[in-house]
Amino acid sequence: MAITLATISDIQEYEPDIIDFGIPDFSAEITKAQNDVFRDLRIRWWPAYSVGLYDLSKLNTGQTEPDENLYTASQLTRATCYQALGFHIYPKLAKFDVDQDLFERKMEFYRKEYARELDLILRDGVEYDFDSSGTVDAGEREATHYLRLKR
Amino acid sequence: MSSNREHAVKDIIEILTDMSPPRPVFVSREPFDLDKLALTQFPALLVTAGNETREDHAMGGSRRGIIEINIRGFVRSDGRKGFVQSVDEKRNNLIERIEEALNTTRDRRLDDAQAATTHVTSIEVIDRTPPLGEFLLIAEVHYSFTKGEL
Repeated sequence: MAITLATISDIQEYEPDIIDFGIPDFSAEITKAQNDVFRDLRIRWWPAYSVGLYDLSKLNTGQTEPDENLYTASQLTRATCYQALGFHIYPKLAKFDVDQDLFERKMEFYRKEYARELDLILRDGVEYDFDSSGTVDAGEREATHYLRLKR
Repeated sequence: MSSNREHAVKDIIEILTDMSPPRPVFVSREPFDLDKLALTQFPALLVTAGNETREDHAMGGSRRGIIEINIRGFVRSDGRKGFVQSVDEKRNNLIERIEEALNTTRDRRLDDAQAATTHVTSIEVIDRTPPLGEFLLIAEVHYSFTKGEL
């Protein structure tokens, strides 16, 4: 069964009246947000994690894509909520008039919060059950780098 | 004690909220700030009970009243769809649907003894800067009642 990072109930913790604006169902937007979070992790976390696991010369022969079911959903719930609100939900509600409306301001707010939250997750260490043991060991939630200079 | 004015407004709001498309997304009895509505909350309606005239129409305390129900509608011609209707077209379609919905049950579900009927009596187009459009539709509810507390 595919992992679910967030539901409408999670989003309503941040925006309780979000379903009162004329769109009663945001499941498609939440799914898109979840896929975007996975994509950001593939871009920003997985390459560094792979380098830590495999020899650089073997990178392309190892696992090339993370298994999304091995993430810890609860760790990514908040980021998914911010992603959904900032990139998929509020853009639909905003009028994009000359003067910013409330929805456009919230859209920008949640985009910043998403960037901040994802950055904190990366610095804290993405929880990934690499050996599919059912539990995430200490080694499976270590940060992949510690603000080292990467070149 | 039951207010016929209140009953008529509640009935109209219930019907307008439940009518077939183009259905208003946001229906309120409280005045609202248009700038605070989301793009997806249009068309929006403000429904309020307006002026009323009352008079005796038979002996024995039988009276009749005519309540004006003010239905103020707001439409936007922009949106996220590829096909964009003009403000005028959206406004006309919404007015037509409101009148059709009100005519479905014209007695406003008041008691038989109150013999109510509803007519749309005027439609005023209010100038707004595009893409916004606004109109004021007045529906008169005619009803009978007996004086005194029921």
